[in-house]
Amino acid sequence: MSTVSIENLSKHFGSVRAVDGIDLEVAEGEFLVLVGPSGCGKTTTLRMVAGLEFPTDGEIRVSGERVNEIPAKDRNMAMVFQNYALYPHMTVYENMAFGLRVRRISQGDIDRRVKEAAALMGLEDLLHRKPRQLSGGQRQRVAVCRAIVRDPVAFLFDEPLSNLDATLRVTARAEIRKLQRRLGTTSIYVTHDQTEAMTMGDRIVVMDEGKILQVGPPIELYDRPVNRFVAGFLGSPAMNFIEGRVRRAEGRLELEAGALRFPLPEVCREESAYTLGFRPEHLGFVDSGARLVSGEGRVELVEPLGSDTFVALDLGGEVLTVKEEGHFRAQVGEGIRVFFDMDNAHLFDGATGARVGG
Amino acid sequence: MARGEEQIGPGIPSFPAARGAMMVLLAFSLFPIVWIMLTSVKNETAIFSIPPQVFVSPDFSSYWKFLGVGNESALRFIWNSTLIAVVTTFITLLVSSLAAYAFSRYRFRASNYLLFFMLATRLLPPVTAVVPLYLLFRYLEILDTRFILILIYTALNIPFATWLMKAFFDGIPKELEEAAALDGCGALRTLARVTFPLASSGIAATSIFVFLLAWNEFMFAFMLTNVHARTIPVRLAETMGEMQVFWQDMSTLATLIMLPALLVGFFMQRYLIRALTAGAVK
Repeated sequence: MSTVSIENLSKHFGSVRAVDGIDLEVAEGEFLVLVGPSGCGKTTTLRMVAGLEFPTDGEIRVSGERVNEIPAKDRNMAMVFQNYALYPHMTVYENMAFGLRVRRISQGDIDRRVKEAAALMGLEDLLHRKPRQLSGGQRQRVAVCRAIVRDPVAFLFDEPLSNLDATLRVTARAEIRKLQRRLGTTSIYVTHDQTEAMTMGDRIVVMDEGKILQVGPPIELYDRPVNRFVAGFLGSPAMNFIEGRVRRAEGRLELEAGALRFPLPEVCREESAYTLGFRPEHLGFVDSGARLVSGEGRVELVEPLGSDTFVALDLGGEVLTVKEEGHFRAQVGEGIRVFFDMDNAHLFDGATGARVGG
Repeated sequence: MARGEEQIGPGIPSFPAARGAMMVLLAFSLFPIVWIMLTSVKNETAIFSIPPQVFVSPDFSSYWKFLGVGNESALRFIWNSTLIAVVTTFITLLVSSLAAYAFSRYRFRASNYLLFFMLATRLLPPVTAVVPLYLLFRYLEILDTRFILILIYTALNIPFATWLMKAFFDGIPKELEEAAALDGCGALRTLARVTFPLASSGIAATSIFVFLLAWNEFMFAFMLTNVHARTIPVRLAETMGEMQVFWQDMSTLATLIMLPALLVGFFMQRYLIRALTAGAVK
């Protein structure tokens, strides 16, 4: 069991700052997810931990020991690649045994460990096959198996599920998570898929442009995003944003956005730009009393999922997504009144995007 | 595939006119080869008979002459050619596979220019090097040795082989080597256990090309050798005497020279096609 600490880590490719001075602590046995859009530096960070890239600046420590200068082959980390990177000329058995052979483990031990790991992932019957004779899902399981058989200090996952179809992805997600809990191995998981991040991570790290924006448990990030980027990135469908200017009317501060007026706390500066964020589930078509603000919109699109219905609503040129539980009937083009739940509103500074208030 | 059942092989069109045209082209290209082989088993009378005879009772005398141990034996030349081609292939592959790997995997200063520069050496017609090389080798007193032919063929083949091999290495995902590194392999072990095994078909194809180029080469062998290092293509040319052309001898030697190419083409065409199209499609 190991911890991974990252201090002021940077990686520059020419003038591009792929990773720009990040600090991160991964606790023993933790499953940490790095998430962000492509080019945000998450994969580069992972590759530096693996030893496949060398940092321009900063320090990586594994269980307290600096590993910056240690090459990948001596770090004893295991990585699952996006394209699995199974050795095509070896059987499944050989793929799994390869890392053990290189480390001069006895044939008896290799055999036992490969068979144990294969049993864990249900691969016993495929051990003699070559990778090209396997389906995408099976290859993915072999890749995970090859990682666990080595008993490494940490698992590193680089978007391991992005080549699978949607159904398989959901099962593989749960499989990986269960396996990791059982083995208790410290894991760093990179993905651009916010659903994977939310469902799998003990903690999530949201990155953008080489910097860490926020670190925390999934629900904390969902409920209290530190800025507009994090708010928009996590959650599906994405949060609705309403931009406007602050005015004082009848002695109280208001956000003026088109025909809508939203009450604002006194911390806001008059005449400045602010953005209000509402999750789709915090908009509704029923006046519950708590929803102080309402507006008239036109239905643009209805997406029934069975359990929920997403309604895209045109509100004076802004398109908002409303989530209604269960079935909801509405005609496209129909006028409808939408209520904004101000208790669950998120307020962001219009210029910096930073969260304002509690 | 829309016409899946009609398609008889990759690139062979299924409509009759195209097939007919291909048959004509095939006959056109195969005819000289078949005729050479037939001529090699005809005696002078049969060769010059009018109308030409296609099938005669075969006369293998010139084969016995060249493959036997007598005065006229060609075994010495075949041995020279074989030795030169094999050693050339070995050295070329050793150098160019490592060079190609470096070009494929590492970005170093001017690596692209260097790669182009290597190929640019082939822009110079080889014949321009004959006279300077002759003078140089004469000065060094190494004319008429197998060594100089190996040296020249290796130098000529390395750029081409490097480009060919680079295409194969480019096709091997870098992640496989990274996976090997995480599995605990150093650079050399990764090459030996992962990269080279995966490039084996490319190595095979490149070897064949290099071998055939060295085996068939005529000009340098003709100009720079005399007795000891004479190769089989040069011996073939000698069948054209000043007064007379020895047609049966010539076609017999031509057939013998063709044999390795034919065998290789027949058994290895899968690799050859892959080599020629490597890097063409992703």
